[in-house]
Amino acid sequence: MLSVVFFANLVGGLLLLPRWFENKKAMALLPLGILAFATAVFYQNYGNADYFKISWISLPKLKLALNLSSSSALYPLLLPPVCFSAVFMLNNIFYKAEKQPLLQNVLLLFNLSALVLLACATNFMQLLLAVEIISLCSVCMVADAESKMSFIGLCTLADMALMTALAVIFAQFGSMNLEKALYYAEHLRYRGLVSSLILFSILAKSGLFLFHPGLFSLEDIRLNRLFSLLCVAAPWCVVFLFIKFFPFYAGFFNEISILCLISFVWGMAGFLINDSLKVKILYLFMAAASLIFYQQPLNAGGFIIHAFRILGVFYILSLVLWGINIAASNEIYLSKMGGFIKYIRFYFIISLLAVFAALQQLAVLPFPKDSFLYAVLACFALGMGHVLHQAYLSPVRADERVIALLKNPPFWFCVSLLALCGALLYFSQPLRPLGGVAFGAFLLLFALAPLRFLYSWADVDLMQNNRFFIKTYEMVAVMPLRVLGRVLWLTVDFIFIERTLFSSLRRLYGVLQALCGFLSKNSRIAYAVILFLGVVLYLYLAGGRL
Amino acid sequence: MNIPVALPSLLIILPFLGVLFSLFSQEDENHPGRNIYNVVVFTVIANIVLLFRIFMVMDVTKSSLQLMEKFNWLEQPDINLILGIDIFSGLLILAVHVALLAGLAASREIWYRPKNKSLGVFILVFLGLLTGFLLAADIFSFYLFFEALLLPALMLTGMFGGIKKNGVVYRFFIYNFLGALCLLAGTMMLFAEQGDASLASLHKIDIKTLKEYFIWGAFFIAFLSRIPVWPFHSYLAAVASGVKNPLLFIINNLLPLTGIYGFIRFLPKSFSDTMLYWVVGLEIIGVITMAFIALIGFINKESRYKLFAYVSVCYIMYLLSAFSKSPMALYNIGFSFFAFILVTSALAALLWKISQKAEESDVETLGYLNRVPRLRFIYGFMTFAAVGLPFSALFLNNFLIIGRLFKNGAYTGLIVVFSLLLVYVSLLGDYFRLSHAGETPQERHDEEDLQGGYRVLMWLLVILLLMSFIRPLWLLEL
Repeated sequence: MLSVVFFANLVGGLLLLPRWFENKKAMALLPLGILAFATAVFYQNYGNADYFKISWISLPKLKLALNLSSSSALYPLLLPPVCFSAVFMLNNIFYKAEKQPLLQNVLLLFNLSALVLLACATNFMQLLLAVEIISLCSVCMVADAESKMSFIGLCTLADMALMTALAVIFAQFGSMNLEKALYYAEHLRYRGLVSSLILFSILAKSGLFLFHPGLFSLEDIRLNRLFSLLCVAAPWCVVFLFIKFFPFYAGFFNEISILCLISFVWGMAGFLINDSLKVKILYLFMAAASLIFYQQPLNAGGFIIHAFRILGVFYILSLVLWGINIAASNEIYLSKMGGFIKYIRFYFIISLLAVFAALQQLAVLPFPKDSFLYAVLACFALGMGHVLHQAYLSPVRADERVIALLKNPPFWFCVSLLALCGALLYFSQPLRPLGGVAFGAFLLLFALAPLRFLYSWADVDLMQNNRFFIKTYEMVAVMPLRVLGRVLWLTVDFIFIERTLFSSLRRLYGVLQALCGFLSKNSRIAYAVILFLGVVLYLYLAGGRL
Repeated sequence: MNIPVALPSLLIILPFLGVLFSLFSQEDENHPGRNIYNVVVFTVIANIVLLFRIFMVMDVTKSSLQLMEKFNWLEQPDINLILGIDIFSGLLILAVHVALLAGLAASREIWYRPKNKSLGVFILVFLGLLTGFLLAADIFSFYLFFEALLLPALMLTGMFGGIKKNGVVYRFFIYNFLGALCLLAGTMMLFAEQGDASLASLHKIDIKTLKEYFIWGAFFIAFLSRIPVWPFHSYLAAVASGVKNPLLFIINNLLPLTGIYGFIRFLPKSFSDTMLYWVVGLEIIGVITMAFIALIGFINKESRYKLFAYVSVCYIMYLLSAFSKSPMALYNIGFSFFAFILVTSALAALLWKISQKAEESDVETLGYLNRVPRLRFIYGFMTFAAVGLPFSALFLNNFLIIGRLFKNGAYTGLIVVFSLLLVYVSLLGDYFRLSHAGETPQERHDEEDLQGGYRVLMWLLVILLLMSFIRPLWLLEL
């Protein structure tokens, strides 16, 4: 009964929205209650099919309905976002730095309703509506002004590209039916254009290489909101679109795979080099996203599980980093940490357990080649080993205040991390020896830290610069538009129309005025000129009869 | 159904009755301007009520003009003035009235000054004439109202606009007057050739001489002079950025509506070869102007210019869509126009409010909306509705319009989408400049937020827009 899930989340969110400014944690439990009810309905009816449509437009030439019919194939698609939504609602409630927990949880409710709408979409309008709602919820989660502007620019670009692609399809077939459009994808007139636009729309929010500046605009937002965005909002929208529009870009799959490989390398390199924990999390997401999209979505359910596992790995590893941040009184930079093992031993053990669970989960991923799997495991082991060594084993470089206040993260945090470890290990059963080998490699790399020389790169601005691509895009795409606009305004509006055309007309008017003034003067020359003009006009008009 | 009263002509007459009341209203020494303001507001509201009555008696399944009225003007030659209404014109008339209400609410402080009677008079005259234009069902009526609209528009812009450069007002008058003269010339030529001034006669033009080029050329230039298409865009841009009164900003942004509406009514179902020359030429100019204005709006830092750029780009998009002649085109343009006019008038009213309040408090507009949460919410809602988010009829109908444009040609469609993207980004950038940049919430001062009738009106607009999205046909189901 996905319609019940949809309406429960939507109506519940709307009822709570007027109190959006509340910062009492207790109020933020209400959306969790609504989600619990929706989840109960979801599980109770798991796999059941039903028919539910709301008629929206009923004009003679245009009939549109919102489809919320359930089918057995849809439930597995929605299971991961439901689970993640619950986890992040708890994050928002217990995270002290979150001042608007109610609003954040209400946004997660709306986001989940939109994902239900997207999963059930059978026409373009419903699909676009869902995508726009998800974009809007994502933008509202971002509090920082500059980040918001960049992110909304990205969302606008991506959504316009999708809208344009669907408009082209609609123009050709005259129908908004999604299945029909997919069926006739081969016969589309501007197939290249449509495929490019759809692919752009998907990749723009994916965080892959060349499309990652949008992701890095989120550098300054709070971590709990960052996780909501990275694990619940953007990725599931992108994954659903990836599945739904597969026939359109199936021919580009080699290019996508190459992009994913580059993204993985870039992501892992960034994860190793960058000093900020938040930026490391963003690079880790980039690497995780590349692993998701590397896999061809031939089977929707299998692809969703694949994405779920990878995002689970990303989340648990990011939580490890977040925990270090919380323990160190919100210290962001790893170069200002070190020697933490003496102070947060309990959390250190949980971190090791988390890495073990993550590596086990990675080991069960069905990549086409074993060599690729080994490389992925090696990279993750190297990366986490490098980062955790710097935090726990490297010489103490932290502030005196940080050291004085250094303690294990709060109880709720440790419990949630342990619960996640348990879940990941449960879903990796039977445990793979490869995972154990990878964990062994991680421990070795953690102890030895062969990439210690990278610690000194924390002071190198060029290496820590994450805005290079943003600035490049601004220079390549935005600046020419500004220059063109200014040139057009100056040359066309100002010089051509104002200075040339109108001033010429003004002068012409002045000349005509002077001429008429001259002709109406009481002078012989004026009389002679008028007489001459009159004779000429008479001869012209009457010339044929003469 | 027998309707005892001629409702469409009553829609035109009511504003003129309001003019009479305005002329005879007494100035209250303690509250100057209040009486005239109330007369204008009540007249607009009365017309809206009448319009809802018209919607109730109309047959919404018919797409043709209904409630037709015929007034014999001249017997020799036989010239009749015909009025009629359909869903499309009804939606536009409603949108115009609500837009004027928004402008009236925003400009209330301007009204409360002595000697504002002429402002009220001209606004009601403008409203009556614009309503007449939208109800016209024959070419002479079109010409009459098209020409007559110029007088109140000129007087309002010249006397109350606060435009410092006189050249702008002169240019405003000359362009529009030349356009009206072209319409007169085209109407006379058509009447001389066919002896018939009905709209149907336009669809039967088969002169196949140079005259047909001139007739269509005259009509095209006449309507084009009202639309911000190159080279006529510069005067509208100058007026838009120069005018100080939000109500006049709205009125000036309603003038292009007359051009688009004229095209929609005058264009036949299929284009003759003669017409195609003009149509193709107009499409090229329209598309180039869209991109041009969108780029200039993108670089311009002034909020009103960005709004003008958005308005211009959308008008040209509707113009291009009008040429598609699809059976659904009128519905799409009508519903989209309805939401578009409400959104742009609300944005104009709110922008003026922001700049006025910021000036009074002697603060910058940068981050001003941080201090006024209700105003921020409404402004944000209107901005997001303007950029096509699912808050209004713009969401669905703009998609259908763009789809139709792509059917005409991929390049046209891409330039339209590119222009729309630029103006959307401009509007969004402006919203974030006003609401987020420059100030943290802790530095909030006590500012007067939206209150009273103005707040109610804005919420009404929000509800109307949401209804236009959720149940687009609710108006027709009354």
